[in-house]
Amino acid sequence: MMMRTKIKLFGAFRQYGNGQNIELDLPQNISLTQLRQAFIRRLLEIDPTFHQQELVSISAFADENGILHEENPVSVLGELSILPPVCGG
Amino acid sequence: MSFHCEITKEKINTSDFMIHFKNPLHGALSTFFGIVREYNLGKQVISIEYDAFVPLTRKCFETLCTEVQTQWGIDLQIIVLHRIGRLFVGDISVAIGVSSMHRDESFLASRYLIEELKKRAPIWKKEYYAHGTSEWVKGHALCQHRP
Repeated sequence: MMMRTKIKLFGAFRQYGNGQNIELDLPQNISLTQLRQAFIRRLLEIDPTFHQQELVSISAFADENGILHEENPVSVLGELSILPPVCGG
Repeated sequence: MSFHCEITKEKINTSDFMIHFKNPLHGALSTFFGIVREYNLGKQVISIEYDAFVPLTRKCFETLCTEVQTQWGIDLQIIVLHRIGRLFVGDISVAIGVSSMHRDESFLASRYLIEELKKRAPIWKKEYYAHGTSEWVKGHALCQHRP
């Protein structure tokens, strides 16, 4: 069963879609690798010139409780965020 | 817990910031202010736009404060403020204050907070340059493995 999932965009990803989020249809219990691949596919649909696959590969995904870990399947869909490398301060 | 963390769109004022530190048992107060500077890597900067995933940034700040109190003393008073939105040259982007009984703890703790914040808090900045272009600043990839 597929679930519509909103991916909130931050930093360098804000240039895509409406600048706030994009939506994906994802199966439950996918891996982070599969989530990354789905995210890239969706970005290419939105913008065929998208070329920042490397940035996606080093970005983290998170929900409001914390960063999703590579070791775990992505079980909680609905709303996630993609977090590119950070530089506060 | 004697710490306060905030992500704010409001200007940070140094005088307002300082008046929160009033513990009569504390003989040391270390502060750090990050300020938007005019040049970065040879480019003239007009302004910086700060973006943040606010709920997680707040949690990150609180975790850092807990780590600091575990390491240097539960009695430390800590304030961490970070601006979001558009800032201009001279504006304060981040304010960190740590008060403690003696100077060593406040120096070490404030340094730890700013260094870790830059690596771990989900905050991003886009620089706008005098010649008309803009660029997201490259940063640190967040750790995605379980501790």
